[in-house]
Amino acid sequence: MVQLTLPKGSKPAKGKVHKAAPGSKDVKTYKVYRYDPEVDADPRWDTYEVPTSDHGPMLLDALIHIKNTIDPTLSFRRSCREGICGSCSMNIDGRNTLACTKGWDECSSHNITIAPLPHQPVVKDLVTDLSLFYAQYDSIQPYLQSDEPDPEKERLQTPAEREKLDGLYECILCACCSTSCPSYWWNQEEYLGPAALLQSYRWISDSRDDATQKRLDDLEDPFKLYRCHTIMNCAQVCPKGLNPAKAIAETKKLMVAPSRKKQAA
Amino acid sequence: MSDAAKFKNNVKVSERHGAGEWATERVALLALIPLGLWLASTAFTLAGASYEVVLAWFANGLNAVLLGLTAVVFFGFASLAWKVIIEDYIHKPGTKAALIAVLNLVCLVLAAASIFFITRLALGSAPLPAGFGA
Repeated sequence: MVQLTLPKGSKPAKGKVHKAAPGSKDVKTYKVYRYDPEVDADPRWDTYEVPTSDHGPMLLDALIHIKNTIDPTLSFRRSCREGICGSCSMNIDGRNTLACTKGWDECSSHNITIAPLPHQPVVKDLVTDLSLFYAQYDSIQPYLQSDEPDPEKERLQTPAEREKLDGLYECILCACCSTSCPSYWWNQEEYLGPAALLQSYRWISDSRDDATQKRLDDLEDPFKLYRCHTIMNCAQVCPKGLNPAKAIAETKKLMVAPSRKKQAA
Repeated sequence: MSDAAKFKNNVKVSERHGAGEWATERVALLALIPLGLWLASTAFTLAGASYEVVLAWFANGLNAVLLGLTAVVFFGFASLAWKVIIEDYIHKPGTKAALIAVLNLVCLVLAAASIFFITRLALGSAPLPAGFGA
């Protein structure tokens, strides 16, 4: 049976409370998941009270402010601070998203919960181990495979062919979609997850790529592809507004299309 | 995990099947829409009818064939759909295989029983052979 409850040593306890200075205005309360597997027996929720005037408009600004001025032990990933690197993906207010593109004023209440991406091993605090996620991306061979010899200049595409890649190429591999998918929670050892499948479809639908049938062969599996039950969490949380579920549905349609040519295993 | 699944760099190697099962499940579901509507409307018209009227309904070859088809498609679909649910949540290979075997047996028995009783009613006999029950 899959594990539906948190295993022993994973239930967060109540942690430290860092109060705001008395008389502070517009105070937001951040309940942040803290865990260092090398030191802590159990994870805990630390609470930070921060006046919104102390930092910029995004949740990442709040986290950086907390780390710089309140608690330097807090760990999280961040880099570009503009929604293109995918580093600061985390679970904010119960929904996976990028801390750098989510404004604290978008959160419904003054109490904002910040946790790491669900169902991934925690390295420390908000930093998760995404090794399997990257291995899955690697497995779909995310690069052009053409039978044509290398042309002198670029490989040409018609505007219509290029349009087919819109909504696919924008993926930044932040893992918000895969780690929000219940099917991925229960079966990530065998199910590739929405991110890898969207990336795979990006190459399947590329007019310059000739490995389409081989790519479909590599996906045709009751678990690797068909664990997608169109739950749609992936499309709901994608911070880039993409729809991995649709890409997966299109892949499933291609699997049974008349043009499909299965190759010998 | 599936039995003896092969892995390369921690990622499963494709079993090269699954599309057939997926397509079968969808075709069965599509077939069940008209069959289910037909069955539901029949149930409404036959509700409260006398034993003779119901027997006459079964004696109509088209009714019997359609009802048998509905039963077979329904239990076939149920076995495919439940298999997916079991695979989702049960990870111990032994337990998973055992549950899927039980599921397939139950669906097979129910489909066979449906065909048996529909055939007997269509031929005008009592549902149970003489000596069984009433």
